[in-house]
Order: sequence, then C-alpha cells, then structure tokens
Amino acid sequence: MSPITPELKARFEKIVARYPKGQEQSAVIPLLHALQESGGGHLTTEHQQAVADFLGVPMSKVHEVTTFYTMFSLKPRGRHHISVCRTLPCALCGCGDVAKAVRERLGVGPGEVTADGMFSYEEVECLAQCHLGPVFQIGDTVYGDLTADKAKAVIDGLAKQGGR
Amino acid sequence: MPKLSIDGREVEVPAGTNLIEAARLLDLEIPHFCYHPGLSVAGNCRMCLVEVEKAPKLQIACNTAVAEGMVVRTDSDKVKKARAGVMEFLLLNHPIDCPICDCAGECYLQDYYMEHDLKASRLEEGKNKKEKAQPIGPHVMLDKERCVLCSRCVRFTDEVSKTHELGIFGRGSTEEIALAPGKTLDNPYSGCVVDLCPVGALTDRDFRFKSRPWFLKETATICGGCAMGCSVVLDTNTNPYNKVGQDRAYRLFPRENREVNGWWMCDEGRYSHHSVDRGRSQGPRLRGKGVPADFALARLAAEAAPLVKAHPGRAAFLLSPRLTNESLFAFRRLAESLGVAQVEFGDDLKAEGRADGFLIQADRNPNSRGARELGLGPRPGVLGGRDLLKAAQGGAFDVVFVLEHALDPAALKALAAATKVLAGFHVQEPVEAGIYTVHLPLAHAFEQDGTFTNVQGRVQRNRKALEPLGDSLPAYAWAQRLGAALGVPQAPDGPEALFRAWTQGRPELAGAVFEPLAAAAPAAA
Ligand code: SF4
Ligand code: SF4
Ligand code: FES
Ligand code: FES
Repeated sequence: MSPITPELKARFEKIVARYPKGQEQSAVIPLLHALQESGGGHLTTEHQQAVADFLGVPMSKVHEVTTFYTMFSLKPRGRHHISVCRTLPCALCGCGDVAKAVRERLGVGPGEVTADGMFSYEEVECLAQCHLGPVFQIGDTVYGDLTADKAKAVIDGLAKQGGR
Repeated sequence: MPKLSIDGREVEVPAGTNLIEAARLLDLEIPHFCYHPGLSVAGNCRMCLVEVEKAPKLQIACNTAVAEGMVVRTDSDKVKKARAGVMEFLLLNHPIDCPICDCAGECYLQDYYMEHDLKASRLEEGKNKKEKAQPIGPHVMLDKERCVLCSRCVRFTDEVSKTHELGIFGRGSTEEIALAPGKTLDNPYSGCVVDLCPVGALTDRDFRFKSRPWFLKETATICGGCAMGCSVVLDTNTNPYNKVGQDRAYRLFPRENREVNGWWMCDEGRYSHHSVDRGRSQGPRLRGKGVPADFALARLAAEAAPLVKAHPGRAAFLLSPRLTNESLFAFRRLAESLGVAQVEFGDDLKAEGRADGFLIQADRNPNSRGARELGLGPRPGVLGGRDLLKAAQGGAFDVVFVLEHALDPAALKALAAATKVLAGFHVQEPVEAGIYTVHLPLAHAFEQDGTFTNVQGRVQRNRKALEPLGDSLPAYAWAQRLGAALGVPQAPDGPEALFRAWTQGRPELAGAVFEPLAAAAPAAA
C-alpha cells in the first residue's frame, strides 16, 4: 500500500505546484517533511521510494537527501527528540558538557532511543542559534544558554509531563 | 578561437574548452580526481586549482572555460600549496592500504601524493572506519574507506548507464558511496565504474588480485564482441602458474575513441577476454583424431583436390563475419584460384542478440560489414548461408569448407552425410569435431593482426597481443597452407600485405595504412 494517502497526495500536489515545471525535484525536502510528520516521525524505505516515484526522480537522489539532513530520521525516534548542537560556536560555549549531561541523564548515545521510548538523542551541526549557544532543539523548540544543570532540568520537566 | 597562455606557453583552443583540456594540448597535466571528459563537471575534489591572472582566488580548472588573453599558472607556489592542502584532506581518513589494494600502481592518489604532497599525516585522532571489500554487483567490489568521493561513479550511473544505482549518502567525514536502497550495481556497463574510479574504492571482481598492473603489457586493439568494435586495451602477462607457459589475457578495458565508444564498453565485451582460454581448438583433427597439421592438410588435399578440380561448382566456402578482412580476402583469393564461385560469409547464420541503442549491437560479430563490403554476401549465382546448407544437405556439393560457424549438430550431421569432404576451421573446438573430415584450429582475434569493419563502416585495426594457442593459426595462414596443399600456391602475404591488397581499388580507403603511427597509448582520462 502506498504510504501516500489521498489527503497527503493533495498536499503533495500543492507543494509541487510551487516549483517551476521541470524542476519538481526541488520539492523533495518539503514532501519528505510532510511524509515524516504524518507518517509517525520517521521515514521508511517505502516512504522514500514513494516520494521518488511521485516526483519521478531516482531513489538514490531522495536517499542522498534523507541521509544528509539530520531533520530526517530513517528509524523511529523517541517522543521527544533532542538534537544537541556540536558545531564550533556552541563548542566554544561549552556544548561538550551539555551533551555529556544529556547523555548521562538519558543513558543513551547518539542515534539511540531510551528504553521507555520517551527520548531520543542526536548530535547535530549548527542550528543557526549560535548567539544562544550552547543550544539544543527538542521538537520545534530551541533551548539556549544551556548548562549541564539547565539541560537536565528541561529533560526532567518533559519526563514529568509524560506526553508531548 | 581564444588564445591564452598557460605557464607562459601560448595555446589556441575552441571557445568553451576548460583549462584541464587546454593544458592537455600542451602536454601539461593539471591534477584532478572528479573531472572526466565523458561526464558532467562536478567540481568537488578541488585538486585542479590553478591561478588565473586577475582572479583573486584560485580557480578550479575543470570548471573554468578558456577566455581570450587569459593568463594561467599551474606551477606557482600558491597552486602547489593548494594541491598539498587538498591532498592532506583527501588522505585524512584514507586507510593507506596500498599493499593490499588492487589499484596500487594505477592510482591517482598514489601518483599525486608523490607529485604534490609527500608529507606525513598530521591527524592525531583515529581515522574513520568504513566498510571494506563489499560486493555491490556481479562485477564490482566497493571499499568505502578508499573512496575520495569524487562522484564519478555516481555520475556514470546517472548520466551514462542511466540506472541510478549509486549515491553519496550521509554527511561530513562519514559520508560514503553506497547502493541506493534495494539496488545492486547490475547494469550492462557496470564495469566502467572501475575504470572511472581514480582510486581503489571500486575494483573489478574478475581482475582483483590476479596481477599487479605494472606486470601487464598493454595492447591497443578492438573488442570483437559485437559489430560496434569498441576500442579497447588488452592487458596480458605471463602467468607462472598457468599450464600453458605463455602470455595470457588478464583484462580488457576501454580506450578513448570519441567516434565509437567514447570511454566505455559493455560488460559482455569486457569479460569476453576469457574466450581466449575457453574450449579452444588447439590441434588439427582428422575424423576426430589428433594429427599433425601437415598430415591433416595432406589428407585433406588428397581427398578434396581431385573433386574440386573436376567440379569446382560442387565446392563451397562458408566464411564467417568473425574473420578479419585480411582472412576473408585470403580465402576469397584462394577460392578464385580454385575456380570456386560459392564463397559466402553466412550472414543469415550468424549469432544475434539484442541491441540496446547505446553501444551493444544486435549483430554479435565484429566484421559483418567488412564481409559484405568485400562482396562476400549472397549475390546472383551464390547461395546465402541457409540456402547453401540446404543445398549441401541435398547433395549439391562434394567439398564444403566451414569457417567459424557454430552449426547445430543435426544440421552438421546432415551436411557431413551429404558431402564427400567436410573441412572445418574454428577457434573453439566444436563438440562434433569428429564429424569433420578435417578440422583445423583457428587463432583467436587476440592472437592475430588484421582489421575489422564496424557497423559504422570504420575499418579498425585489431592487434595481436598473444601467440596463438597450440597449433592454431589465423585463417589467412590456413588459406595459404591450404592453397599449397591443393596445388594452387598463394602469395605468402602477411596481414599487412593482405590489407594493402584488399584495400586497393577502394577509393574510400585510399591512403589507409595498416600500422597507423604507433599503437596509440591509452589516454589517461
Ligand atoms: S567510489 Fe571511486 S569513483 Fe566513486 S566516488 Fe569514490 S573515488 Fe569516486
Ligand atoms: S558494445 Fe560490442 S564491441 Fe563494444 S564492448 Fe560490448 S561487445 Fe564489445
Ligand atoms: S553553532 Fe550551535 S547553533 Fe550555531
Ligand atoms: S577536477 Fe576540478 S574540482 Fe575536481
């Protein structure tokens, strides 16, 4: 069964229409985002193939995109996905300590999910919030000026809330 | 045409030429990994940086078109420093496992390291580990650690084979070449990615660990796998372990020829070099029994000569589109001196496959066009291959000579039953060799000089790279020995004299020479 539901198909068509004719390939990223959002937070091979087929581009080109951008995940993530920036400006501000604190609090390493499925952890390149470094992003929210303690507090708060 | 200067030397080239190609005309090599004349420009390796006057920064030569009055330096300190810097980055995570790498000796990284780098690594952290020796298709092995991510192989599968099996996945220092999910590198031209790979990341499963390239002898020749006649290089070497005790074929790879095959060849052609050792007919046979050549020829003459002399109309030659122009000509001349009119090349009996609209031709023979142009096709008074067989099976001929045709055993039996003398000449020993009155072994195309005329009508030079196996001989040589035995001595012409003879009176071939310059060395791309 195609992972593209009729609603998703209508959305896809609207997205593709934003791009000039013959350059449909440009829609790869927004389509993948749409599919990832609606498809449970990660992209399977079938998802990627469906986007490739929809746009008429080779699967290899879609897979190059999904493996390049950390925003796309090829395996299930936790309910809260934590992306810690590890690029130079944040590193100078001490993101190493933050990352270490998060890893210890969660007990997982990069690309892993906690046993209860609540959190997943990842180290990413610059999140374009260098003025707030060290930063991490959870879902759509960026948390800045972090310290090891602040980072743990954020996670504790989310853990207490349970859901999203 | 814009005129520019490179390292102080002037050169004039067509507008649009890039600096790598312009420098090549001056015999200057601008080092490069990702640029390849047969692929789109990617500009990602940065090895080709050069200094262009008035440009504030170094420019990549592969993506800089020539301009009138341009002043280019490829040898300044700035350029040298940039190259060394690029090399350092490329080697950062490289495993430097040249001693166990099949590419050693023909690797751009090795050559450029010696020429442009020569420094020890300053990396203090450990190197990234990636997968090694992964088969990614029937013919190709991938070593991800050795890859310099030039993307040549990806562009080949996108632009030439259009099969899109490969991609560059991931990001940063863990980025790697891999198969797209669900794919294997299994297309009719897959072996070309090995030629394209500037390093040892992609190696040929057929050739791997068979020989170090510096032991191999190169011969510039033609692939005989189909009517396209791709320009190729055949690598040969003595193998101390083979039982034959003489040079054998190791590999075939394409030679640049923009008029025919570009830089490519098909896998079927590439691995066809094994045919030189597969099921070869090596010794003359008399009714299936191995005998010396002179004895076989004498017996053949004793049985056939009186019959041919009495009724030349009851003798026939079935030639083949697998023979060189020179051999076809020699047999035509022999038939003429015997007064035999029925000489034809069996166009309708030959092996056919499917054409792919790119290189592979339906006609799987190298010289159908040559045979046709030599006037050996069916013509008034001369039967085509199938008709000839039918007539012969009906008893129309006393003596039939069959060269290089894999006839099915039933047809062959019927033929033998209806004729008095049936002589066969093949490269590969026919299963029914005993059916022939006399069977004589033919040399493989790799074992003889000559020409083939490809489907476009290009007369192309086939070059001898190996000595004929056993007692096999090129067909033209058998024609001469046969002539002597049958009492019609032939001129003892070698392939060059035969070439001159058959091209005479062909105005479109006026001035053609058999040995054009030296066999062109394969161009480094
Ligand atoms: S495998 Fe070879 S050809 Fe392909 S990107 Fe790597 S170095 Fe280039
Ligand atoms: S296309 Fe024909 S001539 Fe070219 S390599 Fe293949 S078989 Fe040989
Ligand atoms: S370096 Fe961390 S947000 Fe830019
Ligand atoms: S050859 Fe010019 S950038 Fe690679």
